Amino acid sequence: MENMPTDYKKELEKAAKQMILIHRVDTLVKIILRTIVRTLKLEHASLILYDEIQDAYVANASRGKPGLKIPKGFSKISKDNPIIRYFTNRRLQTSGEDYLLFDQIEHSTDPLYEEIKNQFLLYNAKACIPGFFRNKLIFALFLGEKLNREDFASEELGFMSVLSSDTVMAVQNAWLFQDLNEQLQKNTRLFLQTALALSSAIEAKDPYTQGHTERVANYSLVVANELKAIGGIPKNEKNLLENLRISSLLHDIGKIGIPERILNKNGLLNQEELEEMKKHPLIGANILSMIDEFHAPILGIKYHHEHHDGSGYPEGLKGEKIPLIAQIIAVADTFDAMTTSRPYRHGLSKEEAARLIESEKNKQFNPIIADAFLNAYKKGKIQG
Amino acid sequence: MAQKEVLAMKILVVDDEVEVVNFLCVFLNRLGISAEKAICGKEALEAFRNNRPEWVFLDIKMPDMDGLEVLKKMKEIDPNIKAMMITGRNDESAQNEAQALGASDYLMKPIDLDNLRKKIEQYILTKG
Repeated sequence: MENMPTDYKKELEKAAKQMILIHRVDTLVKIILRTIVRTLKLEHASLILYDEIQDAYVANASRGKPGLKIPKGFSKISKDNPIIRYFTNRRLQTSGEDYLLFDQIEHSTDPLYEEIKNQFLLYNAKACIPGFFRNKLIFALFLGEKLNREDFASEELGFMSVLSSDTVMAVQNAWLFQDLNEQLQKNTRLFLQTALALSSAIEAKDPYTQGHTERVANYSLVVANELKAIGGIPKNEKNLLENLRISSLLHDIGKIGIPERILNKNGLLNQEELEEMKKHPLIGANILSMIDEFHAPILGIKYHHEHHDGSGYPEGLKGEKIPLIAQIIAVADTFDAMTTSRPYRHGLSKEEAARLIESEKNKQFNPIIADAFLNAYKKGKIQG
Repeated sequence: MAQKEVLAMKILVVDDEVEVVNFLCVFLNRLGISAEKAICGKEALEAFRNNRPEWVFLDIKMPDMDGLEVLKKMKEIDPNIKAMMITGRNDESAQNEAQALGASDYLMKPIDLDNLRKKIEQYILTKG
């Protein structure tokens, strides 16, 4: 052991500790192989990792001299390969060791060992260390010869076995993390689709709003991107675009609670009806209040009828007190309402509506948001 | 395993990925087979004309000239050439085309090296 400084242990221990923090299996395996090859001074090392799609063990990463290093994903080992069978079938294990050495079986005439020897030759390996999670073989780690042609010390092999079980835990952890991420993405999609389904429920009840929510959502996102481009979104507005998308799709959800005779009235609303109609932002906010994830989108739903000068409803909030998300929806919503025809009135042209938005700066709208909208409009990005 | 005792057999390995040709050549050498490498269609045809290998391992996807075209040209030079195509997953149409062109076999990535070894050993056996 005199030529094997013990700080290789320290280095491997350090790598093992770092591994658990890495959530990409490929990166993880690369790091561990690099560390092994460097510290044990090997010609090469390869990790053949179980792959669900192939239902086989695939060369996930390899490190070492050209020609010995296996190109990523180039080779695989089937589950009925003798070396896999050796590790997975406990009856076959006679040595009691949790690794296999070429030197141990080199002179054996047992037909199984003959076959295993072939596998060692194919992979040009001197040792193979299995990685088990419970009873499942997760990978086989092939170690090539040492650069100085010496045998592996038993201490090194013992250490490799420990490292191998650490690697298993890190791989399991990374797999779990990847699954979780996929699940999360699935949930986000589900979430958006649910918001879309809910928004179509409003349209079913109020046919005149058909297409309205989708257009408001599109306009809102355009305005938000315009703001983003000029650095107009404060840092504390996390996930604004995502929340805005949901909020704008659902901004009129409260109309579900408004009587149809008011919603579908063929003419202007009287005072009493108007008061009833003005309840929709609060009704919408209440409907969604049970969903924790909707906290930010609810602000847009609740306050999209507030005015910059404080003359809006439901609370008469003023200026910066109005959440940004609601200020954006307000401009988008107003523009679309103005340009949409109703049975009792014709919609305005887009130019007229844009002029009205301009004239409502500092009154109904925050001038910065109104300008962002108007800039996007001038660039032709406000397409209904 | 027929290691280092094989009759002099020459295989030409063609793949645009340098790592792949390097690995396969060293792998074949370990099995006692002499291997020559080429990393594009042009190089492959040149090596083929000059050295007449008895077996060609040919990657289908290559930038300058795909493996099928290389195979066609090799067949024009030597109709009896034995070619093993290397293909990626979901490459069924290319596999069929290769077969029609007279490729004798194919290897699908990821390659089962044990399987490849058996194919080589079998070929050597039939060759007598």
